[in-house]
Amino acid sequence: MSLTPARKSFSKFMDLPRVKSRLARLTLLALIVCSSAGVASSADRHLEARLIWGTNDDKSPNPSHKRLEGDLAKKLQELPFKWKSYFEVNRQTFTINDKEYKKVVMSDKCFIEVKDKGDSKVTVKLYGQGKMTQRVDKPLPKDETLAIGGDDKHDTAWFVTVRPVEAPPSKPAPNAAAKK
Amino acid sequence: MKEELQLDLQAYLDGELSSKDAREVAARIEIDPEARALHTQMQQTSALLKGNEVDRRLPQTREFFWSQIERQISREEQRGTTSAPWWLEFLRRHVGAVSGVGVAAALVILGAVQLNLVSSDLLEEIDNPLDETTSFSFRSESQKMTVVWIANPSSKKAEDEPDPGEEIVQ
Amino acid sequence: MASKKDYPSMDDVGLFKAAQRGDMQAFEELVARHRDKIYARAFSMMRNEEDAIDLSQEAWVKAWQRLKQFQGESSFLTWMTRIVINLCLDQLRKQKRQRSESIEEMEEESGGVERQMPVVTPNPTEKLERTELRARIDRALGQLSYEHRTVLILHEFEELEYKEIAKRMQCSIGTVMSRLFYARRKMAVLMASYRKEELR
Repeated sequence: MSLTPARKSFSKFMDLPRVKSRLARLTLLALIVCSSAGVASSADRHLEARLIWGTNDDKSPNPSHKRLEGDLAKKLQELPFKWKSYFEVNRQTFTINDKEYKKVVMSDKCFIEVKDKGDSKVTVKLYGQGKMTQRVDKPLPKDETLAIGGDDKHDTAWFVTVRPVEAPPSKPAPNAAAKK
Repeated sequence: MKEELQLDLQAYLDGELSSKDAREVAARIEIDPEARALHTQMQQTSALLKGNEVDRRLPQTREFFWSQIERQISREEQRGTTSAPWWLEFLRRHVGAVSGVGVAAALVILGAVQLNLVSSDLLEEIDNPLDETTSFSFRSESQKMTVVWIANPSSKKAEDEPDPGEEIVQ
Repeated sequence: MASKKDYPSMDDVGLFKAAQRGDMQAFEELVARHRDKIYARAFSMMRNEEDAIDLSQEAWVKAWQRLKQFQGESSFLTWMTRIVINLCLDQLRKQKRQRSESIEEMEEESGGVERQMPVVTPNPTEKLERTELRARIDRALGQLSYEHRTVLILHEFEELEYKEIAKRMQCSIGTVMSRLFYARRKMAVLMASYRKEELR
């Protein structure tokens, strides 16, 4: 049987001996696609959540809290809030999809559930002591940050920030490594 | 019937489809009795509603109603400003008093919000399931940040009501 | 001595132009002329007389403050209605939503009960007195959640397009469509159930 132009191209692209079984060919193609470095599922989005404490004190009473740095610190400082200092209590990176909510624990008393709603929109549900206290549906394109906040004791404040981040680098596939 | 078809039938009824999509839905209605029945139901419900809102009369006399409005207008004019929007009240409570630059920045940022310079593509939908909290949001275009602030107006909280701020930060 | 104007015989355009120049009497005539309709719209959304009165008063105060912004791009009544609708939407958002409503919304988004219900057709041959029909519709509207009622009012009574409704309700067009579908189905079911009640 002579090869059609499409089959010829496919064969050339695969650079593999011709495999008789159609199922085997498709399986092989699927494996190669999935193992390629840096390819993420188109349904997955990568986000970062942080629990932040705002205060006018120079230090946090909790030694595990790090002073917030980087662009997020700059953003909060630029906003017209009265707090001088921001401390990072917890940071989590995670992926979401449009099938189910992803639970992200921020502290013993607080967690969020996040889901991809499509069109760069996400739903963030905030839980305090097991009860949902807020639900936000929001477009969250690249460079956009959502912060949910409230007053804490002694004139301080808490914030839970959620924003998109780059996909973490994945381990190179054995095939790709071997070819190099 | 699939949800997509149900919504297409509705959009067809409401004239929200492109001509191409409308033709496809019309063809579907011709051959599919279930689609036809649903379309008929929506059509008849819509026809029933149109022009059949209850007439209601304002339960106050013309003079009394007007006196309330006139008084409020005078009050506003004496005050010299429109009533403070929620974001201004929030600023008064939470903006640092020393930072004149901060206040100016706030006015610029929030002025942009007030003038609807924020793209509607970035608007959010917020749900407050708890009775004792209220929330409002504001956005900084320059920082590309939306802040949703949860406020608990009551000073005393019931023991079984979660306070998202309480001991979140340990 | 200034001539006395015959405000009741002036049309809306003349009245609001006079009001724009600071003529409060002209504005009062506009209030008297349209207060019932504005109140009715507020009531249909808020389902509460006190809130409807407060919000319609607030709408008139805002209208006075914004008169200069109105260029006559729509009728005065349409413009006023938009103001009161926006105030009602703001108020509804601020008000505490019951948990059951948010769960209902989530259920609806995932394909709620009404999506699976059989089609119920309102009986087109049933001759109802108009007042009776309107009363039934009003009763059914009162049984919808605020989101479903609002989308129905904005679409069926205010004749806004999906895009405009989405903008006002600050949600996606998809959400508008889902809510409208649910609201229409629910209305049909409720209207049919009232009929069954009456036949018993």
